[in-house]
Amino acid sequence: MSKRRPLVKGLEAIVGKERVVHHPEDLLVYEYDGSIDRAMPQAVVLPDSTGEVSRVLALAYREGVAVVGRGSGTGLSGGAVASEGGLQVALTRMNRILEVDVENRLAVVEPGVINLRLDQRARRSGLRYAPDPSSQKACTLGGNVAENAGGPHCLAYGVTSNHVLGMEVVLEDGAVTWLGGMERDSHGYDLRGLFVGSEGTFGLATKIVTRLLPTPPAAKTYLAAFSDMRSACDAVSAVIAGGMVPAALEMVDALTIRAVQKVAHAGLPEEAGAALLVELEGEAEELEETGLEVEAILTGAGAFNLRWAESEEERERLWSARKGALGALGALAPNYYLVDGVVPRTRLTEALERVSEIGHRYDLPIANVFHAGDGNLHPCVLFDERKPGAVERVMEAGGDILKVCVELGGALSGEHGIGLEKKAYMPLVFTGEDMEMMKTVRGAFAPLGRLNPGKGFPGGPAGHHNLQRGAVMAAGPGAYV
Amino acid sequence: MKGEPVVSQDAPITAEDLYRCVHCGLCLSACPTYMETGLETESPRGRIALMKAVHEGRLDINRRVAGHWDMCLACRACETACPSGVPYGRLIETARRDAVEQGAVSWRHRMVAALFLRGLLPRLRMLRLLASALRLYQRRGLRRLVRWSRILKLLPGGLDRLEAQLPELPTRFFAPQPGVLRAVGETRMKVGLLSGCVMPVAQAPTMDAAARILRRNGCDVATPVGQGCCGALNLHSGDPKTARGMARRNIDAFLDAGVDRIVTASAGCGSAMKEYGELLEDDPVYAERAARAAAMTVDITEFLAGLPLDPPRGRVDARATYQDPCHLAHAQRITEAPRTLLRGTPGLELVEMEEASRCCGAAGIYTITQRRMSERLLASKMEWVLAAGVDMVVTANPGCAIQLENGLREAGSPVRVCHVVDVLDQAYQAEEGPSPSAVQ
Amino acid sequence: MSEAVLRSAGVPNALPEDGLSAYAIDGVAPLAVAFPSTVEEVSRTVRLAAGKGVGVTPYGGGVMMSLGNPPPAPGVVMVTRSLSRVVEYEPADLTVTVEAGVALAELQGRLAEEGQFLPLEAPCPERATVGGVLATAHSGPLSFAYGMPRDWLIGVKVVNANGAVTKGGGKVVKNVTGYDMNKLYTGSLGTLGVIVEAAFKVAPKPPAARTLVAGFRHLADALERASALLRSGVGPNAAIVVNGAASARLGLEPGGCRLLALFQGRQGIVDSRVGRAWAAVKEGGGRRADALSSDDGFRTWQRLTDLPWAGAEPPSLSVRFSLLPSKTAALALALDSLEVPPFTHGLVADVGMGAVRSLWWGGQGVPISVETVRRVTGIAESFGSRWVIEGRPAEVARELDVWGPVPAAMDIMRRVKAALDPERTLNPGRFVGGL
Ligand SMILES: Cc1cc2nc3c(=O)[nH]c(=O)nc-3n(C[C@H](O)[C@H](O)[C@H](O)COP(=O)(O)OP(=O)(O)OC[C@H]3O[C@@H](n4cnc5c(N)ncnc54)[C@H](O)[C@@H]3O)c2cc1C
Ligand code: SF4
Ligand code: SF4
Repeated sequence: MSKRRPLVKGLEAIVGKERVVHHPEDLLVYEYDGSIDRAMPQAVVLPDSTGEVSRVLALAYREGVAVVGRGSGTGLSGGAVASEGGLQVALTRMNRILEVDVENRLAVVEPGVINLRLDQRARRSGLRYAPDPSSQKACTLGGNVAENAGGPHCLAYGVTSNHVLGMEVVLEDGAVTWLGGMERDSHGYDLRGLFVGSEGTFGLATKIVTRLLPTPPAAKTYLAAFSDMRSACDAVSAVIAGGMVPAALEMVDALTIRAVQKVAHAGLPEEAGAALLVELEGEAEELEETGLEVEAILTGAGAFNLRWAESEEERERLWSARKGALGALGALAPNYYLVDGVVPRTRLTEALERVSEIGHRYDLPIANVFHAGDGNLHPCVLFDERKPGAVERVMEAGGDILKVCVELGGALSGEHGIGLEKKAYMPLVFTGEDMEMMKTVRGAFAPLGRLNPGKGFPGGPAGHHNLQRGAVMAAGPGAYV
Repeated sequence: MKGEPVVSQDAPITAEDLYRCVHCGLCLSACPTYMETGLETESPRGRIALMKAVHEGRLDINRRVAGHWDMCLACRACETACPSGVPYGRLIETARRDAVEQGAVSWRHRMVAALFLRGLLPRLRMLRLLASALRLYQRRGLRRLVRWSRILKLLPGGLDRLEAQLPELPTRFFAPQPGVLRAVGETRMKVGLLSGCVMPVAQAPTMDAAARILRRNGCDVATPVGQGCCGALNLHSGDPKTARGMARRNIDAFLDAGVDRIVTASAGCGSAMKEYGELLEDDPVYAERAARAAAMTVDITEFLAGLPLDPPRGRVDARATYQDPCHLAHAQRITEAPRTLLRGTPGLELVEMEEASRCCGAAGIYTITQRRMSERLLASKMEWVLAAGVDMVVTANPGCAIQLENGLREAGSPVRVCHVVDVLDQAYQAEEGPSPSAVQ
Repeated sequence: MSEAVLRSAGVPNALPEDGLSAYAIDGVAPLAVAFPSTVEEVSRTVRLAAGKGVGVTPYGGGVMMSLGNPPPAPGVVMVTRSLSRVVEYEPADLTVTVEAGVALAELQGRLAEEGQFLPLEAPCPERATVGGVLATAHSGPLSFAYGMPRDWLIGVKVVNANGAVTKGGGKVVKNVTGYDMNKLYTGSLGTLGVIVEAAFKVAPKPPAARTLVAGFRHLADALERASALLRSGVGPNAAIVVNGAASARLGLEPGGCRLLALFQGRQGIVDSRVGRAWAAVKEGGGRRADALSSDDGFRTWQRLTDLPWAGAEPPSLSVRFSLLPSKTAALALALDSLEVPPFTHGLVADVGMGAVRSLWWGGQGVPISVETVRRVTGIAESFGSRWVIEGRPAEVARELDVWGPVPAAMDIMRRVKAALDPERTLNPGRFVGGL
């Protein structure tokens, strides 16, 4: 804390007083992101340009202060939480779309550009930005790059890393360089590919070159209700095995359906045990044929109440219900802990059954709303953090769920990242040597390891448990009960 | 540290409302003040986090904390965006009230509150008196002199701005009248028209137009004399007590008039009246009446679009864009009705501007208390309006109309500002042949 | 370092001394050639070489060994072909895990049995190994529709410079657990680790395919039509333009330049698209349009992929340019106007990807000169293009860096190399900037 003064002074000299946050009351709103981890930074700075970011990082480097990048703070693994204190660099003001190159189907944007805005802008030229995280109306491209964000339509079009061609980055010491560029292939090591998903530990992206795809001429969106999760999972497997690659294939379970209906009345089938949202894209004539096949597969797997969006509004309503589903869980419980595990698609049924067992064992309701087409589970454990011991129990349940995923041949995270949240579980998947290798690579970018320290690998003053307890302590004994 | 949560006789912020917010951040991009500043402190999630911190006893309400709440436009765009159904409007009102109670608001805010909100609004006669004086001031060329002399700059913070914002006042004000204006043709129902505070003074012609259209569409129109300002501004700036008094008065006036519907042409008033039920739910005498009045309240666009409307046959040849008033789009979730009415107007071409539902920066007394932010928001809004290449911006709320007019005037733009009702009325007026609505 | 040393270190299959010259790279014969058949043997080989301060050059099918700068010193060539197991194939998951030495054609054959395929392309796929395609990040015409090798690799196992075996990614199609090491190893030309196992996601094989071949009098028209096709809603999965010389070597009917467009999907849709594309091509001055069936088309595309590397007569020089798609046509035209007698110049332009290959054959015993190479690569500059010399005589490679000017992030790349392979054991000196 003693370092705060000179740091703040130095920051103010770079960006001006208005864009440095350092009063404790104000810092309080920078202690969280979308996840359950919390910690307060020493200061927050909001640079406006690459030059400012560079000078800010050089200053932090000289002062020996850790730097944590921050986009919209919608991350679900604690990536933007300053778990070891330090300086948060919020890139929310660098939100200009610098170029949309229709002919070359690419865009150059600043990192604070909101995902949906880029997509909307591209759509005006008949193009689109394909990765569409459910948080797309709020999350930034910088955050997407750092987490390698996915989304419903990534089933057919690939995740962020398939759509990012290059980026300008500021390194730990303030040096500015470009990784990749505007071409599709790499020259030398594919550092841009490596940077995507590095969770802010390699550098801060200050410009991002993305690909844009042409918008499909037509789309058909189905909503299929099933009596239980098992038959819905069977339907997913059948669609995939049938050689179909829908643009999106999403599942919601009964609990989620109830929550969404409570808030949005989106017309989801309330009597269903699970529902699938299946979207096909392509030319109209093509959709007709594939549509029939998909309908047959879904019905064959036990879908009842199969219907499709008759209008664009209806389609949007279905999607906004899906994309708001996570938030809608707020209507059921004040907190949720979303576990972002992945399993091979053929193991979905088994995985979900074991997740539900875990819920029973810990006596915690678990809602499921997820990217079924890629086997990317999102069990949401519902709880109330104000109940003593709840957080611990939830974390344990979460750990058990991750273990199940790994046992079934899957992984810890499909799209939200490891961050603080899952770092303790890394040894389930990787050996010490695997992780050493990754850290060695990180060292080539950030030799001092001061960019987003304590993320991604076990160790450090980690862990929700500690942080959460910290928060409870700060609230004063008894404050929660 | 204060261990106890904020205590107040009025219902405290309930944990249930507060902890519905799962800090997902999906509301951020809907928030005008966040998008302008990029600051989490000026975001819905940030403001709620501060409320939570206060609630948990981690924080006292001080000027800095209250400042972030004050910067909020109460436009409730975040509520529309929120997938968890966080009742943000209710939260911010309560938080502000607590801030006022703890004396944590700025002197500027307090001054405006004393003078305008508690002084003028509850006393409409005084407001009209003041307005007459102002009209005189405008007519006599005094305004030019005063403006020129810059004397206004010497006035306490923001009043010069207020002066600049004063709309050109009409020659006649609209005033509630006893009795009923009869429907043209067969009477379908009896509606009460809320005259409100600003509208009758600043936009009397719009009120007249509203009455004409209602009558043309089979409504007997009453404008009960006992009614007054709806109390919204008081409520939004943390003074529920005064607001409650004003609400009771309106409830009496309209219920006693025996109307089937209470129609408002001001989105802000409409949203406040629709919430009378909650405002007075603990009032043993008024709770039931308040709920009834609230249920009867409709915005005029919602009302007309829901009728089998007698379609206007006259033309309004213009290219127009529609600015969603926050209190219509977000507080009442009405976005389609006004657009439907506009699309149904012969000759009118409706184009969407960018960010049509982003607040223009008017937001009640916000223009005075948060002058800089209000100006920034207006500047952005002007960019989008001008980029749309229209002849006319249509809206459905007096505050927005005044703000937009100011912005356009300052930008030297010839683009006109109209209420949806004005457009419809023009179309009716432009009908060939003997017009059934030429009554007044 | 010799066969005997390898054997005593537990790498039984090594080449006797007299066979070494067959594995010479740019005339530099290796000290030894090892054929490890297990990951453990790979690891032992690397550890042994590292201990002796000798470099190890991974070697798959040997079809793209001309890529890279000449080795600075003789080292151990490590042939991965005996790592040839399909480790795990779960068709219903659309994922497959194989050892690095599996030949691409063999893998495709296995996938085809289940109606699936992996959109990777390589010259001589019967020989080219999966590991080799990954290490070179080789991409062909399908990349426009399907992406590059990096987009299909979901998990990787490598032997590091110190012999340690580590992995990245996994077996699931979507995964952000740990850094994306897949990307790092793909295209690193074996300089950071020896890829020993790779997991891919695979795709359902499109039920039908047809290739539209149209002749054009002028290269410019063909290029223009190709971009127009890609922009239109007709949706070819690849649109490649070749000039007359390249076309002749593809075995197409003689005469002028060609536009080749690949359509894949359901039969009915493919037919209707080909029909629409045909009409558009004719309007743009195309002649003698011809639609090849799935098989004939496939052979043609494979020949196209082979062209820069193999076939009856590999080119004396082949240069690959990468640039913005919008500038591709202009670069292709500028290249086409070059004349270097007695060489024949073939051009292959992928306007969708922004990739152009410039191929020079013949020379009747006269080696291509460094000046000529500079003239060819020099054209890149005014189009903001990068270039890589994929095939060339050894003499040329000794004079200039085949990878062209170094990229902006060269410093970081050096740091990565230094961190992962401090002793410079893995394929030293051959990659960009001497990595
Ligand atoms: C309701 C909800 C739904 C979601 N749905 C999805 C989904 O479908 N798919 C999905 O993938 N994710 C989803 N997420 C998670 C989250 O939205 C994504 O991880 C998103 O990419 C985070 O973006 P952000 O701007 O909020 O980044 P933040 O949360 O602010 O930061 C995330 C990480 O990025 C780093 N970072 C931020 N900017 C930069 C930069 N410029 N350079 C380098 N590092 C940077 C931070 O340090 C941090 O480590 C969801 C979240 C919520 C709340
Ligand atoms: S108010 Fe709603 S949208 Fe905003 S952070 Fe809270 S829960 Fe999310
Ligand atoms: S009411 Fe408007 S200004 Fe206030 S937090 Fe919500 S969106 Fe922002």
